[in-house]
Formats: sequence, structure tokens, C-alpha cells
Amino acid sequence: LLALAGAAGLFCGGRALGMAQAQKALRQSAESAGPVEGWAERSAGATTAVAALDALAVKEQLRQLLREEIPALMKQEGSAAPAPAEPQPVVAPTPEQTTSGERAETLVQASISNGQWTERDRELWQELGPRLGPEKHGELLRTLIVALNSRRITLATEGPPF
Amino acid sequence: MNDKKLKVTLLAIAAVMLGAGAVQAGYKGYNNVVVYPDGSGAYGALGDARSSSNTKEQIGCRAFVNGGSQYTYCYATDKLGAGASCITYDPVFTQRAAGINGDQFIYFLQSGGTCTYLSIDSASSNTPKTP
Repeated sequence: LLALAGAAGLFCGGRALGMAQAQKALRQSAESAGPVEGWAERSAGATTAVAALDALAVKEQLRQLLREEIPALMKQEGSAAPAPAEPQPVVAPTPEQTTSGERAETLVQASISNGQWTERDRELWQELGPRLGPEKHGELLRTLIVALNSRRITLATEGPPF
Repeated sequence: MNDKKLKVTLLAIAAVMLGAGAVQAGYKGYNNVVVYPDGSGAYGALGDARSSSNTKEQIGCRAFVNGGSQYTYCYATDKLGAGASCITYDPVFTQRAAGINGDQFIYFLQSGGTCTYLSIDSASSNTPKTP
């Protein structure tokens, strides 16, 4: 029985609380069934019947205990685990970011139309880039990168292109 | 021993010493910037790109921190002016790119403009970047 209680305790996450409650329930079950030493004096048939009944009662109490304990423990475990990443709130661009974004968009489209990324383009991009929100900056940078890799624009710059 | 013989002897000793020095210099690799013709990737050593005889070669990565977002942009231009670039929002790439120093060799691959591979090689054979 104690081994069973130990297993129940371990199954409940090895928590002291789970183990203690399982042992308490088993103790109560054993007390209600009478003293242990009395079992040896009973007849073999009666002992078997009582033991079977006792085992059934213990099983039922264990089931009840596990039903109560496991959800509570799962809840505790869940609260300890990191919460799933929540989507970042979309921050509306500031008026300056909007204006810079429009200028940068025009710059990028014009360079693709011209098929060339000049030093002047680069200078303007360096000026506008830090004023863009991360989404717009990343989006336009990717547009330029894809255009460069696919040879839709050629470089006429000396420093890092973008 | 007259002066001429002494000079010859000293020159011979100096030549032997220089020769021995060269043997002990270790392996040196030279990796000028190579950009794949289809723009799918590039590689090269920072030191060799900088010390190349042309004015176009370059390779590097830039990390951005912008409004709570972090992303990295890697670029390369070969001696003919052909370029390849990529961007990534993967923090692992950003962390690696931040560790690049002047003695390293960079190799990146991209697909659709996104960095799919970044290799940063620190080796004794790389040419150190010099002014």
C-alpha cells in the first residue's frame, strides 16, 4: 500500500503535498478497515474477502485523490511554464515615419525603374532609414535586396549598398 | 677577409634567415570577394576585400536595432561591382553577425532576399584587415 501511495505521490509530480495526501488517505482507509494485526487472526476466506474489499476502497480513494490532485498540479505546472508568445501589438507609424516612408518608397521604386542604385540613392537611404519604422524599413530593404540579387538594379555605389 | 667577401657572407646569412622565416610563416589564405552569378550568395575575407587593388570589393553584415525589432543585413560586392545581399530577423544570425571582426571570412547564402546560411570563419590563414 505504501508503495502504491509512493507511486501516487510520484505520479502527482513528486510533490510533497501529493505524497502526504495520498498517505493520509491510505491511513484513513487502513484505520477504517481495522488494525493490521487483526487480519492474521481472521479466517483465510474472510481475510481474502476483506483484503479484496480493502483494495477496492483504496483504489477508489486513489482514483478520487488523483482526480483532485492532477488538475491542480497541472495548473501549477502550467503557470510555471513560459506563456506562449503573444502577438506584438501593431504600433501605428508616427507622422514623421509616414512621411519618411513615402519618400523611401519613392526612392526604392525609382531606383528599380532606373535599374541603378547610385551613391546619391544610398545617401538618401541612409538619411531616411533610421526615420522609418522597423516594418517599413525591413520591407523596403528586402525589396532592394531582392532587386539587387535578381540583377534588376546594378550598384554604382562605393560603400555598403544599403 | 676583405670587405667584399664579408658583405657576400652577410648577405648569404641574411638570405638564409629570411628563407627560414618564410618557411615558418604558416599557411596564408587569400579570399577575395566572390558573388555567385545568380546572386544566391557570396563569400570573402574582410582583410582581402579591403586590401584588394580595386575599389569595389567589400563584404560585411550590419545589425539593426529599430523600435524593438532586430534584424541583420549582409552584403557583398565583387571586383566587377556585382552584389548580393540578404536580410534576416533570426536573432541567432544577428548574434553571430555582431561577433564579426576584421580577421574573418564571411560566407552567406540567401533565398528570396532572406539569409538562409551565414558562416563566419576565424582562422589563422585569414588576412587581417589593415588600414
